[in-house]
Amino acid sequence: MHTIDEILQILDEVKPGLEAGENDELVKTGLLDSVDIMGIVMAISEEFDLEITPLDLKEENFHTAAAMLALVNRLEEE
Amino acid sequence: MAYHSSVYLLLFLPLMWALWALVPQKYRAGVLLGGSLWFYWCGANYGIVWLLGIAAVVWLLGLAMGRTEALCAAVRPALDPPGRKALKKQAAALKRCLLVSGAAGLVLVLVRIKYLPFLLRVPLQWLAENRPWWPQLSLSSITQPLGISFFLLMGISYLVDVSRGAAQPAQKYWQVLSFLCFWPHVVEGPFDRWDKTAPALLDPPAPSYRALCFGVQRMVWGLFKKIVIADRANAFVKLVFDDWTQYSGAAIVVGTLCYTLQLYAEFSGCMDLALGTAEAFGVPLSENFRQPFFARSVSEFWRRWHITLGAWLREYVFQPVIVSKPMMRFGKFCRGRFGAAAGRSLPVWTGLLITWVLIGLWHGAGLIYLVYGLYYFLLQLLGEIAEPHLPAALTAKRETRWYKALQMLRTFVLVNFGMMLFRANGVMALLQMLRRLFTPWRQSLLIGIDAKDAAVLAAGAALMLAVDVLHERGHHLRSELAARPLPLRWAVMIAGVVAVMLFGAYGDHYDPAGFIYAQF
Amino acid sequence: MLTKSWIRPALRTAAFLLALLVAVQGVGHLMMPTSNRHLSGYTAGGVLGEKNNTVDVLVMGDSNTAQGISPMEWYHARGVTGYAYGEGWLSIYNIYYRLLQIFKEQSPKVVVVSADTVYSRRGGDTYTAAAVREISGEVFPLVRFHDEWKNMHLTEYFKENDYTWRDVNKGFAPITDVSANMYNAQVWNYMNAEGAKAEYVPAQMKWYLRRIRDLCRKHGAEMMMIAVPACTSWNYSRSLGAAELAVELGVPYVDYNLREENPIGIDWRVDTPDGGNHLNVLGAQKLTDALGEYLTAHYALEDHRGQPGYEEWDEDSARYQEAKQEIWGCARQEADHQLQVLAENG
Repeated sequence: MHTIDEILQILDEVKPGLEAGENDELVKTGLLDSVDIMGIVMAISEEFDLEITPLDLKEENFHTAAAMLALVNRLEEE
Repeated sequence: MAYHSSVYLLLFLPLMWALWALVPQKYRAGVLLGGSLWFYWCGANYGIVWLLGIAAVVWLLGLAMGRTEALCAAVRPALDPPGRKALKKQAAALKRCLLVSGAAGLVLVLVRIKYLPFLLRVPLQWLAENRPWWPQLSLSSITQPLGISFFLLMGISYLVDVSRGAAQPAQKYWQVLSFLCFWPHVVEGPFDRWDKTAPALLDPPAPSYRALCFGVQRMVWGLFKKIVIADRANAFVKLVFDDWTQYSGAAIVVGTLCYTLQLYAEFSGCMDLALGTAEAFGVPLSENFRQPFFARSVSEFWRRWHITLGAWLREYVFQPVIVSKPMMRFGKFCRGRFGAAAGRSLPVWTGLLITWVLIGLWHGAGLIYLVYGLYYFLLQLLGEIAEPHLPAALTAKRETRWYKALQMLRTFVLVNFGMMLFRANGVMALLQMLRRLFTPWRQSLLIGIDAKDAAVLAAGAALMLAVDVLHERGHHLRSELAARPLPLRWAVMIAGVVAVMLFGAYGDHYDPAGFIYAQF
Repeated sequence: MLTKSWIRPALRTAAFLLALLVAVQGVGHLMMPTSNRHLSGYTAGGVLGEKNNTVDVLVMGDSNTAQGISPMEWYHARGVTGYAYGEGWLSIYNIYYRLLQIFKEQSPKVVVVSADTVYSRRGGDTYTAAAVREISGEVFPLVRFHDEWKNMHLTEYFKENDYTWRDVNKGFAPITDVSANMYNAQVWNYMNAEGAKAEYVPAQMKWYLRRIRDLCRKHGAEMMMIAVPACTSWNYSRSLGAAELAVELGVPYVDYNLREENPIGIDWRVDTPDGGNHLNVLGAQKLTDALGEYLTAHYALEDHRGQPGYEEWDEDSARYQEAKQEIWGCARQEADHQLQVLAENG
């Protein structure tokens, strides 16, 4: 199991100055675009050594830091 | 049979709708398919063989994937856990094999028809001129079947969705065919997704008066944009861009603005016609535009302009490429070489480069289209690089009104430059136009149009702007109109129809203009 | 219950369409030109300004007719009153509706239909599209005259229309330019019969031809068909097609392009202003003379010269003859020049 802090740290690396909270909406507000999301995907898969498939790249998996955490935990279990 | 032709509007559409509404429910899907095939036949004649063949291939591959899945599910309970895992792996490999061969085959068809003549022209010419002993080769050109860029890509999207398990495969051939050739989206898109569009196509809802009214209203608005605005601007644009050596300075600027207006009015008008038609038949299609000129960056512009093309490439090219194993390895390599940040961003930028090149080339085989794609890639890259270096004093004002307006203006200028690039007759013509841009234009700016045309254009553009502003503010104009009393509703509709008939640029004094995107 | 659910929307739709129709026709009426001078290209609209029941021969056709037939020649030589109703791209569909209008004021003995209107189809149109386009233009004046707002002043919209303007040339548009078509100068290559098959004519077009014939019959007029010499747009397949149509309709047909006869001696070096697309006044003179002879030989056409009620025709004829000398002279000069140039270039 991972913690939200790990995710927030990755977010901060990829998008400095974002300063997002755990449940802040990131996609619909335009804070993250598809390019940023792909950067996050790269970072997550690197950091946690996960295999992310195109199917996991749904917007709802990335719209908050909490959603990203849930994705990471789910992939870890599989 | 273009969507704005009188044959389509006065003959085909009323006939199809009446037939569709009058037959019992179980035949409605058949009426839609029949109408689509009739429509396609009118536009492509024997090109329909391509459509039928490609639909058959897509159907069979989807079916095979579905069967694989079903077989797995049937065998699974009898196996122990390691056996299940092995089975899953085998099934996945088989599905991937089907998908890759199918998608590659479809892409090859597109490449053969659309790009190969362009790619081989130069080398063949060179061989013929410099190596006379080389056997003469020639490539028979195949007439590009109507809408092939659209139904091929929709076929690929169907296959990928089925292989991912995001969509259930169709059991019957006619169902796939019906989806691929549905007449409102076969000519100019939008690129629709099987899971969103197919249900209403295969099991049509009951005819609804409200849906008919809404659909017709949207079509009238689309006609207004196409016939009144785009076709009127065409006269100006044609002169300036086809005879570019005659014009300079302001004439080129205004010509480019007119072209942007023309392309926007025309393409979004065509989408209004297509989506309005589909709406009248109760079929939801994807929106292709969302007030693009309110975008604050070029990448946002492309999320609002031709949305479904961008979405298609993002979903089926960009994202899969990024998370593919080679790209992950590339990321690792970059990380080791250039550090963590580059390890993250270089693969993403590689994916973006591929996407932009494809967006450019999708519009046609030619160097200018490649330049067009690269132009937007460079803009996006520059924006991303400059972002961290912007002075803090400026970025702090990011959410202020004037800063937003400035961003929109900047995007508008950059997009207009892109439009000029897109419309120019080749790279040489573009360079010449750019040079001539700095020679002042001392003659009248009424080129190919008179003052009254210009007035209609300005009024039409203002109306489009007003509608976009309202949409941007979240209004749904047709629902709001529907809540008003009947005399007002009718007056608006009648005024719309009369305006289209009165101010439309059709008839003896105008060049008939087809839809620009229908050639892709 | 079921019937109730659709009856209301259906009635409402019908009512809306009715309101729309009223609006479209109303605005269309406002857009009609205030003078018959501007009703159509050339001076076809002038036929509405002629005194009622004076026109005996009515020629309906496109630009080839307007530039190729000069009815005043008939009046001068034979006292036959005629009008050349020629408008660019006029098709059979248009002709039916125009005749409906003209028959309200005129009772011609002969209606001559130029056969190229059968094949008139704007670029890119399918047969059905052409039919819908032309018929909708006739049924809705707004479609046909929609561009008039560009020419009209605000005050003109509500002025009573004045359709009394008369054309001295009776629809004829004299062209004096000369530009040779050398490919067809010696041999009329465009009328090569080899491998020619009657060109396809769609069913809806044939239906309108029958409607025209029946309309003529109803008004006591005889219909006939001709083909005006035109070496860039006419060919043997079309000639065969038109001949078939004439047989089906049971009307006479004369093709002035048939080369074995070349009865009127068209010379493609000097008789055309645009390389064979149309005729100039020199070609028109030949065609008009030939057609006039055919008409007087086959139909009982009265000599109206000097008759009471035809004073306007006598007047117009005199004015026409006055202007003619100069115009024809001009064309002859051009023709001489053309021949000289051709001779110099071998």
